[in-house]
Amino acid sequence: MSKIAVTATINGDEQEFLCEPGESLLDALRMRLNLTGSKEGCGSGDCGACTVMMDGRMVCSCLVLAPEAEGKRIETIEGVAEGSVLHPIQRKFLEMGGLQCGFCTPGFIVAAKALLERDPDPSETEIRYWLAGNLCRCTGYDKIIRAVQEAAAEMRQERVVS
Amino acid sequence: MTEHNPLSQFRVVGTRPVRPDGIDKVTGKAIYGPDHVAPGMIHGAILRSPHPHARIRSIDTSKALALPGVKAAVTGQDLPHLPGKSVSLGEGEADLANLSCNCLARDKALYEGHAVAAVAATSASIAREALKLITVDYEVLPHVIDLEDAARDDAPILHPDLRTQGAEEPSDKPTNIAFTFALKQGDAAKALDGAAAVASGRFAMPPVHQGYIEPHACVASWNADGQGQVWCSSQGPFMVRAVTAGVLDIPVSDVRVTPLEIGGGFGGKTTIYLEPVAMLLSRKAGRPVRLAMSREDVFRASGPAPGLVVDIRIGADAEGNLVGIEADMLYDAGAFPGGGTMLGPLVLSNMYRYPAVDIRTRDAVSNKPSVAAYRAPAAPQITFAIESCIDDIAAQLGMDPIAFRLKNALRPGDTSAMGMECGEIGFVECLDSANAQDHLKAPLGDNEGRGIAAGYWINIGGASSASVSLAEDGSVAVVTGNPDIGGSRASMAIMASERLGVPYEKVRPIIGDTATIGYSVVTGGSRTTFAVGRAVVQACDTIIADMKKRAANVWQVAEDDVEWRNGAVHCTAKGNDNAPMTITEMAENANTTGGPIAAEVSINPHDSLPAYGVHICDVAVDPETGHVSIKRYTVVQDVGRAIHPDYVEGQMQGGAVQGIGWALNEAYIYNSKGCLDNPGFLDYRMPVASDLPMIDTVIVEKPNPAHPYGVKGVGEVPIVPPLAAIGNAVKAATGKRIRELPMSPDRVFAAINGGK
Amino acid sequence: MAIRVVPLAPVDSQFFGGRSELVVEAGNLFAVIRALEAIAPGFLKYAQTRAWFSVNGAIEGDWTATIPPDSEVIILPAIAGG
Ligand code: FES
Ligand code: FES
Repeated sequence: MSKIAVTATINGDEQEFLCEPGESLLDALRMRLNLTGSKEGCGSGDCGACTVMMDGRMVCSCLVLAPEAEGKRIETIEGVAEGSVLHPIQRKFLEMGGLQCGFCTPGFIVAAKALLERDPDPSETEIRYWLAGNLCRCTGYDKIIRAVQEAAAEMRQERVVS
Repeated sequence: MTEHNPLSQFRVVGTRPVRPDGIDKVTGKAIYGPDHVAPGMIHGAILRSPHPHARIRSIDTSKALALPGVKAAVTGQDLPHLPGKSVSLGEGEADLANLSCNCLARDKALYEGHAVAAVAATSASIAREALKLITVDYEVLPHVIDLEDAARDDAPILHPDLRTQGAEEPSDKPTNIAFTFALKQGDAAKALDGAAAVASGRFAMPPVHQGYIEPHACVASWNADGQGQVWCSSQGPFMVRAVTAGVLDIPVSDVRVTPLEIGGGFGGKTTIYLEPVAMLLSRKAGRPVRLAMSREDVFRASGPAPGLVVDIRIGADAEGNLVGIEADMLYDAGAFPGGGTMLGPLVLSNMYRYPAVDIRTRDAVSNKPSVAAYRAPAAPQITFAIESCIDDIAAQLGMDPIAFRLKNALRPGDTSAMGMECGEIGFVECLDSANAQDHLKAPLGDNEGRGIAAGYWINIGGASSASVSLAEDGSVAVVTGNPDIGGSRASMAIMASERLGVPYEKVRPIIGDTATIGYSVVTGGSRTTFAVGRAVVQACDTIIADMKKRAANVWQVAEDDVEWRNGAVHCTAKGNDNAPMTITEMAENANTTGGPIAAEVSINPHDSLPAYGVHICDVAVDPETGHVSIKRYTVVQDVGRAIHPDYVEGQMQGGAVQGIGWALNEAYIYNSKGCLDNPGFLDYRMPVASDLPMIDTVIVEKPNPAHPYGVKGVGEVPIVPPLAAIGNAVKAATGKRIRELPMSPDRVFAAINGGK
Repeated sequence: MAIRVVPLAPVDSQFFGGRSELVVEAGNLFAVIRALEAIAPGFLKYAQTRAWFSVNGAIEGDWTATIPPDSEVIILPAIAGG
């Protein structure tokens, strides 16, 4: 099968990879680029474990064809922390027990970050609906929602201070 | 709202430090089952039966093998034919034969999605192409999906050699009923006929899936010298080792299993599906082979939890004392015997006192995937029936539902109908605590109702190993063989930190592979913090005793004159001014006081204590659509002691929400061809964030005397009460008792509009 | 020392001809199980993998532990969890 060469900016760095025409972006990230932080829970757009940002838009990477990433900016869970400094959402997930097995966590963190970038002060209901595309089977969502609320509050605080 | 009052007697136990494996899990670095890559690894794929029941006349893999890039192909004929397979179904040997047949069908496909052949190729897409080139000659057989149909005399037979185990009058007729068990005490029929209040009915529910988000995946490498390695996520690497070696009929020591991070299991990863197949492919190809399930495969071929049909009758006298119970249970086993049928009677007999008991349980095989454990196996199903009836009886007698339960609840010192004496159980404490919740006083709106229900789970102990070793600077490595499925590394580190008096951050909990630590049974049954935690504490105690002995030698005093306090040895000999030596100093001087300081402990405790929970639930029922929404939810549970309350609450919340999904949405739906109609998250609808309110938790702590910090176990019982709690709330809102799950809008709508 | 043994179903019918109670002389579970193996060959293997033993109401996992005289031992099928 002839392969397609794709060049994309992934977590700020330009990367080149070869993929098959029908390959998903998720498979390319995981198998070609060794970025296994994005997870496959379903492969059909129903669980959100594969959530990444593409040119600032939240997408299920299992539903995006890898060749479509050509020339695009892709941000994955691996790019959420700045170096070794965790993003407030990551920190709040840790401090508040927002994960049990942690398999859904990368998807939730990428999605929550996208939400707080659009809306720094979402209500509980808004958070619940925004995250309704992300399945978690372990936590019952309670501590996830609280972690996002706390992170939002902290980020608003930081914004006021700086 | 979250209630938990840690007892101040502990320094670390009951606090909420960040989990040691946390950063890896929020940054995407943690390696889960599907993430592992081995050098030279190739990709496997599995061909699955499109038919629910078919004889396999022949399989031809030659065309697949001819495809460039394909390195190996296997079928069920490549697995050893295990002797005893047909004669001793339901016993140890037979389980292996069944497991083998479940991994790769031998002569019959027993459910849609049953694995029949596998290939390995240089890429996943070539492997998928190769599957299309395999020809299987099937003779399609009549199938049976419905549980009650499967139990009928004229049902299509799955296993011609199967005979009912435990039958009073053994028969030599082929049957789908794998197992039966009966328990009789007193004259239940007479007691119930004379009862002042009786609730009865037939309750029924289809199978549901555990729904872990991580599909099963593994990498296996099997060399020509017989030595094999497996990397996978599971609830127990020693379980994977035992069954992989067993199915392949090779020495256990030839299989080394390295556990990867696990993305949820809930019981569904206490068995295996892929590992022996990956091993065979690897042996043939001479390369490590990766096998992974898709979500569809997970639904069609793994799990689920058994469905249940039960006819039940419970009664009480006018004063509100239960007088007897009758129950006839039929559990689903799926394609192979072994549905954990015994657990139904266990649950029935461990909640309330019944002077008379007449119960029977059976399980039947059918053309559905072989059932697997799911959080408190068999308990949510039967508890749905029990707690619905208990609620109805209380209503008939005009009694408060909690007061009625309190009157009949088992207490310490009581003996259950199965002959087990109740130890320091906390059922009464949970009911008392529930009774005191503000939630009970909150006003309800139109079309809203409130329900409560209780639940029991036995909690197990079992074989567990742990090692504790001091590094040169006094930091601590704790190794166990139990995968961390929801924060257990943190609880192991907390217990070691508490015991040794070192800071939590200086304890590094590690999960070892099967060659680095002694045997341990799976992470499951709510056993890990209890049993493995006890092994960790005992290992800590062993090195403390060692350090005391060394200090006595250093100071030249008697061992009795050395005391361990706050992470240091203290000299208590009269007139002696030896300065205490901290654990760090002891570690630094280890080599001059006798060598490294380390201990490994292996134990097999069975003195675990059951957990009880009481849930309070408010629902709103939309009269136009029948849609039930959860307005408010409170989980009260006795956990013995919460080591890390965040993860205790998390288990309570997660279990409750799985129960909510079970009650309202989730079900295996089959079409007339015997194929699963909803093998994806779109149609098998698990609860999402927008379906739910916050889940309030109330931790009750009645310590377990058999654990150094009082742990009983948490994980299982929270899934037990929600089914009935919601059913009772729907009854309160609509006046209708719904006895079938799920309580989907159409069913609720029909009930409101003149249904039964 | 006489020990009262109560096998629950299906152990009773599978190994002991439906008897609901047996009396054996034993000082620990090993001796109980050895005595039962003599009555019903094959029971030992079953006991190792598929049974739990409750001694006077509490599950006992250590077969070497001393059982007091006149104890009651209930045999029940082993139970796993999720
Ligand atoms: S894997 Fe992409 S949504 Fe589930
Ligand atoms: S933490 Fe396990 S699926 Fe969310």
